[in-house]
Order: sequence, then C-alpha cells, then structure tokens
Amino acid sequence: MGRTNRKKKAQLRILGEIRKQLILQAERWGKKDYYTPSKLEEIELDQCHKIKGELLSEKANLEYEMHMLDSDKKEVLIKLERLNQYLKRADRVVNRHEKNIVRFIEKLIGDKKAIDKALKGIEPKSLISVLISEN
Amino acid sequence: MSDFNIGAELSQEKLYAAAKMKQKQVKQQEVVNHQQNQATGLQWTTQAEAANTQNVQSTEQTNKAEMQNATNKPEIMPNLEDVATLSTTVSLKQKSVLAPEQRGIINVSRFGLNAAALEESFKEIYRKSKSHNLLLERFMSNVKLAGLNSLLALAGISPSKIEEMKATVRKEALAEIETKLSQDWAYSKAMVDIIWG
Repeated sequence: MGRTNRKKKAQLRILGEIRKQLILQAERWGKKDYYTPSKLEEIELDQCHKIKGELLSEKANLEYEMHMLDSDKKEVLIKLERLNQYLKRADRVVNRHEKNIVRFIEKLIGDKKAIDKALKGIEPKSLISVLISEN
Repeated sequence: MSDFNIGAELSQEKLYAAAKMKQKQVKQQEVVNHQQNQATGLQWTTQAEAANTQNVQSTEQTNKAEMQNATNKPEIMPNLEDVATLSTTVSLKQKSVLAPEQRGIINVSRFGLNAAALEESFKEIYRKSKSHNLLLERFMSNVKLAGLNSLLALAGISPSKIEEMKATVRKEALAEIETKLSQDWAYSKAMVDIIWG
C-alpha cells in the first residue's frame, strides 16, 4: 500500500512539473492567464470522460465475449470485476472534478446568498395604490 | 681554397645527417600514430610493451646513426638539390593542404547569404527563446536572436515578413502546448487518478 502511494506521489510530482513547464511556456508566448485552475479542471474532466468511455466500451466487449464466445468465463469475470472497480473510481474522479469546477465558479461569483439579498434590496418593490373617493 | 672546400663539405654533412634524422623521426611518428589509431582505440598491454620496446630500439638506432653520421663521412656526397628536397617536408594530406574553414560572418561572406536557411534557423531559435529553461531562453533571446535579426536584415528580409514568421511560430507553439496539456498531461493525470485510486 505504501509502495503504491509512493509511486503515485512520484508520478503526480512529475506530472505537476510538466504542467508547470507547459504553463510557463504558454505565458512566455503571451497567454498569461489562459490556463487558470478552472480551465485545467475542465481539461481534466474531459479526459476523465474520455477514459470512462473507453472503459465502458471495454466492458461491453468483455460482456459480449462472455456471453457469445467460448472463452474462459472465470478469467473474463475477473476482468469485468476489475473493470467495474475502475469505472467506480472514474465516476468518483468525475464527481470530484465537477465539484471543483462548481467551487471555482462560486468563488468567481462570490457569496450566493449575499448576492440574492443585495439584488432584493436593489429591485423596486411593487406598490398598490388605492384611491378612495369621497362619494 | 682547399680549406674553404673542406668547410663547405662539413656543413653539407651536417645537413645530410639532420635530414636523415628528420626522416626517421617522421617514420617513427607515423608508426606510433598508426598504432594509436586502431579501430577500437584500445591498446593491449602486450602491444603497448612491444611499442615501447620498438620505440626504445629505434631511439637507440637513431642515436647510433647520428653518432656515425657525425664521425664518418657519407659514402655518397649528396648534391645541393637533394639536400634541398630532404630538408623540406611537403604535406600530402588533404586536410592540411586545404585552408581552414571558419564559421560565422566570414563563411557567410564567402558563400553568400542563404535566406531560406536563415529563416529556418530563425524560426527554431525564436521558438527556443520562449523556453521554460531560463538559461536557454536568455541565451537564445539575447545572443542568437539578436545576431540572426541583423543577418536577416543583411539578407534583405523585410520586417513585416519577420513578424509574419513570428506569428506562425507562435501559433504552432501554442497549438503544441494545448495538445500536450490536454492529451499528454491531463490524460495521464486522469489515468493515474483512476488506476491508483
């Protein structure tokens, strides 16, 4: 477990370095605030959807293989189980990225309740005037 | 008159001996160079020892010959023309005969300015001048790009064309960064997140 964590950390460190270098290059070419954290999250989300789609197609292939072809069913079942695990993880990662994006948007907008309150104060109140005649 | 003749003969003897010695030294040097320039460049211990012994023997022989030449008179008196040919060395190697090629502005002036090659190198250097590596960026932008700008002006390329080239290079570089970020970085990061959990 510790070994996998270490490996993951090392890979993430390398990826972080690559991202830093690419963003720096983009800045030097004049795109200074183009790759914001929200933009990067969007890119990651797209790739997560892509990977999820690939996993789903693989799952469909395996199911076809299990039902239609004469192959080792035990092996296929093990593969399917593992694939389901990966799909669950992919869902989790997609959710995480979506939440992050929403958070970034909320940050940009500010406090939603305070904005609603302020908007209510600005809006003109609809008044009903009743005229009562003497007669 | 006779005294004068003897003196002249002595000087000729010395010259002859010196020329002979030089020839032998050149031959020895060639042998040593041949041994050093073998295919692998490695010199085995036995070979090295053999070479050393050969060198020692040859030096001894040359010393002896020198002594003999100094003491004994030469058997055949060389003519004045022979001495002249022996005392001078003529190089037959192509490298040493050719004029040394120099780089930079002299080369440019000799062969003329090649505008297409200059444009290519300008594009490459302009791209490197925006590198994430600070040292490379500084060197390329301050030294090489400045020099190339002046060379392009010498070649007769207009500033508008230079700007055009810069724009195309920028476009290409940004497209490459975009694809790298999306396809390489984001894909591998998503993969790591999914696979490693």
